Parts: sequence; C-alpha cells; structure tokens
Amino acid sequence: MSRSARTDLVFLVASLLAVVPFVLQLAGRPGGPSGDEVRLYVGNAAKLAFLAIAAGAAIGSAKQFERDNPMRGTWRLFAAGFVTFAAGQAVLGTYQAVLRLPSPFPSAADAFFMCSYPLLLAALFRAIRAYGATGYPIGTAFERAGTGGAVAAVAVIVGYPTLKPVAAIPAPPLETFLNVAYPVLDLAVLVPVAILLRIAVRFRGGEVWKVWAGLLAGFVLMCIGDILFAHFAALGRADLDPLIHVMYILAYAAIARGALGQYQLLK
Amino acid sequence: MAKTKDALDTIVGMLSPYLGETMARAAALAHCQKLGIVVEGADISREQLDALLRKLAQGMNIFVGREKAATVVGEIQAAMAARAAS
Repeated sequence: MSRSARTDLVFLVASLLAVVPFVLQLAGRPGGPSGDEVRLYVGNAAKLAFLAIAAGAAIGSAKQFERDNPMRGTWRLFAAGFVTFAAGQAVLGTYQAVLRLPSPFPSAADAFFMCSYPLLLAALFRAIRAYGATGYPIGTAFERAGTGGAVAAVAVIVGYPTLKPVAAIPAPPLETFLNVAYPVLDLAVLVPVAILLRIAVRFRGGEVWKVWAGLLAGFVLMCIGDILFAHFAALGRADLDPLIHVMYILAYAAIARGALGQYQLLK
Repeated sequence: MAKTKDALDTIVGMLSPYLGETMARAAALAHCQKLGIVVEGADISREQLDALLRKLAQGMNIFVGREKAATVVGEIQAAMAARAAS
C-alpha cells in the first residue's frame, strides 16, 4: 500500500470514528450522560486535531516551496487561515471541555473564525492565479471567470431566500450579523472553490487531485455546516446539532487530508 | 533520436502519479504543439526533448516544488536514456 493510500485510510478511519457518537445520537441512541461526555471530548478533540494537522501541513508546505514560487504565498495564507481557525476552535473547546460551560455565541472564537475567511479566500484566489500561470491546459481565464460568475449568481439566488428568515428572527445585532455573515462568507468561498474544482478535476488520478479534492470538499462541507447552524439556531432545533458537528468534523478532516497531501508531495 | 510518441509515453508514465494520466498527456501534447514538435510518425531531437522537459518542469514547480520537479525530470531523462540503450 502506498503512503498516500495509507494516509487516506488513516483519515477515513479517524474521521468515521469521530462522527460515530454523533450519528448514534441522530439515530436515537444518544447513550445517556456518558454519551454526552464522549461527544464533548471526541468532538472537540477531533476538530482541533484535524485543524492542527491542516495548519501544520500548510506551514510545512509554505516552507518547502521556494521563495519565488507563487504557491509559497498561497500556502502561507492557508497556514494563517488554518491557524486562526484552529484558535477559534480552541476557544470553543476551552469553554465546553475545560470550563464545562456552554460556549457563548458570539464569543472570541467568532473573532478568530471571521478573521480566517479573508485569509482563506485570498489563498484560494492566489492558487487559481498560480495554476493559471503553469502553461498546463487548465482552461481559459474566460472559462474560469464564467464558472465564478455562475456560482456567484447561484449563491445569491439560493443564499438570499435561505438567509432572509435568519436575518428576520429577533436576536441581538451581533448574533444576527454572525448568523448571516458565516453563510455569506462560506458562499463567497464557494466561488474560488468551484473554479479550483473545475481545474483540479483535470488532474484526476494524480496526487495533485487528492490535495484539492480534500481541501475543496472540506470547504463545501464547512459551508453546509454553517448554513445548517444558522438555520437550526434560528429555528431552535438543538436536537439537530449533532448533524452540524458531523459536518464540521468531516470538513476539517478533508481539509487536513488535502493539506497533508500537499506537504507529502513536496517531501 | 527517439520516436516522439515513445518519448511522450515515457513522460506521461512518469508524470501520471502526480498529475493524473489525462492531465499528463494533455500537458505534454499542449507543450509539443507550442514548441512545434510533431508527435505522429516523427522523431524527437535531444534539443526538442530538453525544451519539452523544461516547459513541463516549469509547470510542475507549482504543484510539487522545484526540487521534486527536477527529480521527476531527472527520472524521465534516465528512463529515456535506458530506453535508448536497450
């Protein structure tokens, strides 16, 4: 078995084990107080561990690329984004698993999460520009602009009616802002993600494809998780929270696998 | 001198683990076209091969870094040399 296949297997097993307690809860087998404890620790530990791996691999990749390589800046931005995201997750984990308090919303974690989005968006757009300069047949700039425009249009068409009820629910202004801002930023991230997916799909069967398949799948799952979070919070459906945790765990695992794939490609 | 098609098959075989076979072949063919290298029924000169590998390596730098790209190009050259010797 190749190193890449072994890494795939490890991530698959680890992420499936991490989501099992949440899937059992959704299936009506919460497991009582011990089940709550398992979910608290496994959920927080898994999210933080996957984000830490993503951040570490991104830092390593940035270091491995040469000074004049455009991907060095891309991976530096990814690293900054993942470190900031991991800091936000660490704040949430501290509230829940250390202080044994329900994490407040909004909290310092949201400041970290909000800061990470511009970094990740910049990283994704830089990657598109760098890939466009390879001279490889990845499509024309016009095609990429068309893909981005189409996804942006769909995001507006889907996002507006979906988020309108979320914005209308009476809540403190900052809470309302964040409930709308997260999905909006996620939808913004989906624009470069779609362009990169269209590029990356041409690399199917190679290691480059695995890097982007992981990263892009992770961003899509994060977007779904944030939209579900906003909706379930607005509708008061706390019983569906496990589904949000499943989305985030799988998202962070996919991102970590993608980032680690890039690091392994460079070594 | 080697057949261009044979050289391309070697190149594609070495690049496929990184780029996937479709992209490896498409990239090699696209660069052949840009460099004016005839693929079907023609031989590839040493200069043409070096120019083609240089172009492919420039793109590979973005995906795997310069060091790894140079290693891959070295492996392709070694494979070509072995093929020519046999």
